[in-house]
Amino acid sequence: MKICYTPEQQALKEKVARYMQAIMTPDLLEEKKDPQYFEGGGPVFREKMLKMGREGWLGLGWPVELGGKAFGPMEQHIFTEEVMAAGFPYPFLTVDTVGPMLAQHGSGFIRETVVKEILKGNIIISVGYSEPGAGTDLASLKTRADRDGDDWIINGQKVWTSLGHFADYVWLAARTNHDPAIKKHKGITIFLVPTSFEGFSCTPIHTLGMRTNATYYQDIRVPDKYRIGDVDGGWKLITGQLNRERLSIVNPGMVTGLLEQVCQWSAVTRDYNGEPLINTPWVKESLARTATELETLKLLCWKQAWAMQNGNPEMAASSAAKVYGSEFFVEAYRRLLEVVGQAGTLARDSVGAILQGKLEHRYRVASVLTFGGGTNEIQRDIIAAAGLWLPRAAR
Amino acid sequence: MDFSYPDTHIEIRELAGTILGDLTTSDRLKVQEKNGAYLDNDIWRQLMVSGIHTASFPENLYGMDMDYMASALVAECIGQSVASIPFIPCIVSAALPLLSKVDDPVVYTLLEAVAEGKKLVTTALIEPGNENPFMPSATALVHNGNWYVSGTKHCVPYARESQSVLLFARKGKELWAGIVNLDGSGSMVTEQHCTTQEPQYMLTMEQAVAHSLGQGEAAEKLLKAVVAMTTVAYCSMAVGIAEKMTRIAADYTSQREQFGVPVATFQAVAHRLASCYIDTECLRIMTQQAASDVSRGLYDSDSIAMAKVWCGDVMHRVSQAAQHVHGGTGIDRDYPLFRYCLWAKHLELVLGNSRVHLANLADKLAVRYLASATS
Repeated sequence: MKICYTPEQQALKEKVARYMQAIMTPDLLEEKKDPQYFEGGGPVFREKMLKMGREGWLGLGWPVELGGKAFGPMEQHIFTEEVMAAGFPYPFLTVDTVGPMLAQHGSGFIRETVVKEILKGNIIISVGYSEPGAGTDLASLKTRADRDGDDWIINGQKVWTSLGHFADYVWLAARTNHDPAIKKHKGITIFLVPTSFEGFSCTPIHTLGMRTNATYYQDIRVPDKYRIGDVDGGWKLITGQLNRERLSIVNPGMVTGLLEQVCQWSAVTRDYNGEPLINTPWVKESLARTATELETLKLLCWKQAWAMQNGNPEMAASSAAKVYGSEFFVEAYRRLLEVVGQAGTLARDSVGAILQGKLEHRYRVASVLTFGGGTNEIQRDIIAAAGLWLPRAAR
Repeated sequence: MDFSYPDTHIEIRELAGTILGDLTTSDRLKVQEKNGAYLDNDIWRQLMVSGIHTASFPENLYGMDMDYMASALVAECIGQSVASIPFIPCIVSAALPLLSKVDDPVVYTLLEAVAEGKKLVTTALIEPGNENPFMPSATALVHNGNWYVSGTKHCVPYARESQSVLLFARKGKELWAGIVNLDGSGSMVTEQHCTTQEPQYMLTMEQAVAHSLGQGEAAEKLLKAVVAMTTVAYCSMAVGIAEKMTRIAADYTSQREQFGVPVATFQAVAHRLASCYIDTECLRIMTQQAASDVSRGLYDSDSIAMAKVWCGDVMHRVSQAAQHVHGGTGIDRDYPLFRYCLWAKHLELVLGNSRVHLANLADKLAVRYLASATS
């Protein structure tokens, strides 16, 4: 038991942090101001992704034969933490969650044409699970794929397809078995649907914090080589992808970066008496509590990454990290905004905005995470069953 | 980065868990409580026979030469069983830090007697009206080469059961560390009654004869070790307590039926327990980091205060939740949960509550950022 970075991991962390400083150029910061491109997708973002791919940074934890460096999940996590701390709109769903699933379960064609391109920074993938009538009860989804010779014909609608307006593919869950005698979750198959195919369309949904999308699939003809895993075997891939997503969405990098900036800001900002703001008792106590709880999140994530490296992470532990992290984020942004004050609500394009209005934006985004990636009620159900062996309620 | 325990630590935890689990039965605790005899000599003797009490002692003092982490794991087992033994106040708080003074013949003789189970040495860390161990108001003075201490300490665990006490006092402007012989003249031990029923005493000293362990930096260094080791041991005990309280509540609500179904199938109940699970895991991982730091001698690490912040919060929350989901049964003194809840309150407050540690962390944070702002 030794809970700190090895010297090699510490060196990697510092190296990534330096590298990311060079990536976060003024033109990228300018592009991010456009709400369309806040989560990436603009030309400068694409250029940076290609650069990071070319220089070998995207495939840190991936096998060598796919163009990776075969480092462990711990190293991959350190990388993601630093990239997020720098504020880069890192497509973690693509690189850290769907990518590894494709590498494991995709056909040779998918590995050659998609996986390798992900590592080159060339490809962005959206996740297509939720539908207007299927959210937490995901297995009741109605989007369907019907076999037609060597192809599949896909019809249906998805919602909350984030990045769908610039993604190259959608990792799509569709119903392939309509037999009422089998359980709902046993009739679902995963497809990697190219958004360039005829029949795909996308309309924006403007949310409190960012743009997401509704995506439509009308008679899209998809060759069988885009099917991932077995026919009717999609549920296992969905849970596998979500297990990775849970760890990714509570990555502490973003709050680490913002806490650091608010601490620095309150050390140089003076109150009406000319005293540094950080000397106000409630200010420093709020910051210390945030730092304490952030440390806990870091350790929970490290332990998950370590568990992945050394066998299998426990289901209850990964749900616990997701619940804790997402609820912590909401509180952390509240406390950081309290420190900055009302001026913290000035948006990034406003005169007088503080820390480029980052907090004003982040608090609007943070509320997504308590329900995104599997709502916290379901996570607590999982903990009660898998962690405490409580009897399940009939549903 | 390594979150696994070596085999030797796992063995110690299993051995301690077996001895404490097998011997600390509810009936046995009930008899003790009735007799007003808290210290369970049989269990304590069993632990000593197995050598667990000296797991972190060097081999030349009958120990197993293991690190601090091993003793922290024993503390976790004590939390699981709420066994009434003086492991934390006497072994972790006094003996382990005193190992750094083993070149002193008085200390060596004392530790040898402790290892052999012939003597106990306890620790006195707080005073009436003053719970900051680093600012004692007791005073030490030297006269003709002999040391004497005056002042009052209280909530001293096992003072009557111990032959000597490790304590700290002021010598002029400096901190002083020493050992007072409790059989000697000048010291008086008065029984106090605390919420856990652990034997605790007020120690009044009027020129009590003392053995000096040093002053100034040497005393501060020793006190830092004492406070760090004790704090993290109580956090470890809290991990055991939180886990056990959650387990008891999970078992009960899985059996207890209302409206024809186990109450654990109600989402409101299950989610409250899931939150206890999350709290316990957060406390565990913070405590593991702190114990890992203490094992490496990092007694100033922020991880220790952070673990104690969690300890205070989690003891409060899990104790209340566990009682609540039981209804009346949870507070029935014929049902085992209440002992864990009493200890939870003790662990919440011992050596600084969550707010105290948060305030200390806050001061350190402000100083750090102000320094980098001006540089």
